[in-house]
Amino acid sequence: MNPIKFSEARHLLSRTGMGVEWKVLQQLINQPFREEAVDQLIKTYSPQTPNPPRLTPLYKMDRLNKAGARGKKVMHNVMMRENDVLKKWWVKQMLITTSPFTERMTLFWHNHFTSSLASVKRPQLLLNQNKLLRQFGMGNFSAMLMYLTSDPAMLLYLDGDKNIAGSPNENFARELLELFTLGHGHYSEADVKAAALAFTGWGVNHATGKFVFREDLHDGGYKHFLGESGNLNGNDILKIILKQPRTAEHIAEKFWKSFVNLERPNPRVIRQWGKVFRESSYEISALMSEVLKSDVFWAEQNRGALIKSPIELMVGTMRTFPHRSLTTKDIMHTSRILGQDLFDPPNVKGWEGGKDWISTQSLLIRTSLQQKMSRDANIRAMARHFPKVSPDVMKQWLLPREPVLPPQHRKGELWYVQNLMFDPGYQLA
Amino acid sequence: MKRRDFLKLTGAVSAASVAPSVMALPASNKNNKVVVLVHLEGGNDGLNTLIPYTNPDYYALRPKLAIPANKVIPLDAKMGMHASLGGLKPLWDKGEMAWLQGVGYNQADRSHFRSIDIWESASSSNEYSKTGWLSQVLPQLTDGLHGIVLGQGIGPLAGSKLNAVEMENPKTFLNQAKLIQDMSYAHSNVASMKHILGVQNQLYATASELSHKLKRQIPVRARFPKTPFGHQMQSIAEMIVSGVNSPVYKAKLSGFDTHANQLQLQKNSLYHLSGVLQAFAESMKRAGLWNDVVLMTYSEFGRRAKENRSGGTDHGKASAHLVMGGSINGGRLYGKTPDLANLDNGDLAYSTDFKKVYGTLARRWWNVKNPWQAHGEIPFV
Repeated sequence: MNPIKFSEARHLLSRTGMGVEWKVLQQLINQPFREEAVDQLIKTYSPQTPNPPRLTPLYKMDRLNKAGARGKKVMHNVMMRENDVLKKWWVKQMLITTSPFTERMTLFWHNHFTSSLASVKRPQLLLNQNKLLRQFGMGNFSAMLMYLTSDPAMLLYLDGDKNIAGSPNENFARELLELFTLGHGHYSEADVKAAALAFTGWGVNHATGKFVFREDLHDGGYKHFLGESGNLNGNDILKIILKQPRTAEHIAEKFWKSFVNLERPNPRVIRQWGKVFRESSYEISALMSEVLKSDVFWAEQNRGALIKSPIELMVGTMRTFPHRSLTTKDIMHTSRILGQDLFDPPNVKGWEGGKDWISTQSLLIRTSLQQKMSRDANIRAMARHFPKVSPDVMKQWLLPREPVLPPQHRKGELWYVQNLMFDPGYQLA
Repeated sequence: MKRRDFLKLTGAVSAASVAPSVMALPASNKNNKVVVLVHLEGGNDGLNTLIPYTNPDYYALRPKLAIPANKVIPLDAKMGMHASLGGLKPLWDKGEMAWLQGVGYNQADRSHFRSIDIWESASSSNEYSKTGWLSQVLPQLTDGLHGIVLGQGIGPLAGSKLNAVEMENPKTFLNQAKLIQDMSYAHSNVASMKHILGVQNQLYATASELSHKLKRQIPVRARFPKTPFGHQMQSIAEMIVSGVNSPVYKAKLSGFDTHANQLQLQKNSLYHLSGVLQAFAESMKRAGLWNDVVLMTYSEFGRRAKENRSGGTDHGKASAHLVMGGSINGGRLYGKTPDLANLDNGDLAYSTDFKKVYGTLARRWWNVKNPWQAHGEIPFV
């Protein structure tokens, strides 16, 4: 067991929450050991969906869609409006939640099992998918995989509903293997074809928004997939995939990139994490706990080794300094401009993240944003919530590493905090 | 305590890496040859831009949209330009402008987003790449500033190997960039921090270059239309004339996605394009720089050969594009005229891969290695 230091509690919080709230930081420091702090954090996860927005029911959307050009236009307007309702709802949850860890994990899974409003065109289905991500986000990955592969938003997003016997569409099968489970290079083209055939007949009832299995469109033929043969169906494929060690390792690699370091993962560590994940029968909390308790997570060289996503930067700042310097609408728009449009990832691979978050364009915008958030009126309001601590502790609170710019304290505390926020290190987690 | 000592002490910076306080930019572009890219956003209908005005198939495919032969500006016995481009005819006559016909790529994608990605990254239809085609060319030329995008869309200049910035206009950029501090002395072994410092240095260096060169801004001697595209091209002209050292500029004109009411829409858009390009050519000539500039248009795709039922055309494949500049071997049509009797699934088939155009600019204009050698080159420059 390792006693937890201030800088370590800060590290844990900045990686698993949204921002570094002083109060929560104090609670973590009160835990005698790092391991207990991790256990306590994982316990805060909540599988329920908080106050989901009311959106136009799918049967109404479907009816409009079938009602000629005018109906389609009305449907389009409803969709555009409710897309924003949905995005703002999520931003708001991230701002007000008492379990930022839940939101962080939901965002992680949203970027794994991706689907987009732009292509699914049904905000209600994306909300349903978001509920699933929350339900399973700290649950069992096998169950999550079963539910997400038959999720209507996913089936529409990856043309799963168009995949029928006699005319297979490989889109879904390919991404399932390449992105959701095994990872590129761990299956053959023949495996993709076989998997596509096995999933034929999986579809969506547009009026109810529910999954349907269309027996008549299913290819019941004999298939070979990853060394197994038989009249395999979609569920058989998933079971075979879950037997492959690579599936657990691929998820472990994603955890590495999201929670440890944006650089290439260490293969030895990944094998270890994959083993723990498999031996727990794919309990996500077991993997999370293994990751957060590992030496590599706490290693000095991995502090500040991640780049904050636009959401982390904005929501995080607003939770660290509880002051409404941005509205939910501001956050929705700015995160889109900065390349993280919630519910609308750029493609099925999701947001690349890491270095991709910072380009010349986005850094200019991030810097202007920083200025907006820390301009005089805002920072004075924020200052009411500053802890009464020394400049040195303040620095350790706000930055993961020593500042690049020496912060000036002689002009007062506000100036000092502004200095810290403008340090390149503030962009890091 | 001095700043450097402080940094050494804090360990944020390793002493060995303390560089001069302004990054050495511009490490000047070897030959000062400029390319201006103009994205015609929406997918310009090449068939009504460069028109086969004697071909009966053209009139059969487009009963409503075909441009009558007597309204076309003839370039040769078979092909002519849309009348809205009349202002560019003098450039054609002087041999300073040429058309490239049938430009496209294999297995064209009809999505605006996908197709522009393919064009801008020079990838093939089934390959996803996020680095712009210029990152295979410009690092050979200079390690200084590589490109400036007016408006949005870093596309062809995307990628970590390039120093490129996007801006509304130079003034706004310089204003925003005031917040960017000089970090060229800082160094870090952490990849995340290294990346941010690198980007910050690019911004700082570009801002220094611009503010230095634009301090004594030389006014352009041409009248640009007062439209967003006109402003973009005027800014580009101002930067070139004032000696900003960037081998590439990019601007964008929207309004080419003509699914309906195409006759009017395209007429306006081409007229707008023509007016701005005339002013641009004029400004370059007056500054004595026209021989150092090549301008080329590109677009997501051309449009279907057959008109649709809404007086428009839907997303197609190959299209015609123009190149202009004092060094262009102009007054000529390059590439094969698309065969309207042999369409590719209702589309003009491509005969010139766009990578051949890029390769030409690399090899024949900038005189560096052509990354797309297999596609060959076109002697337009």
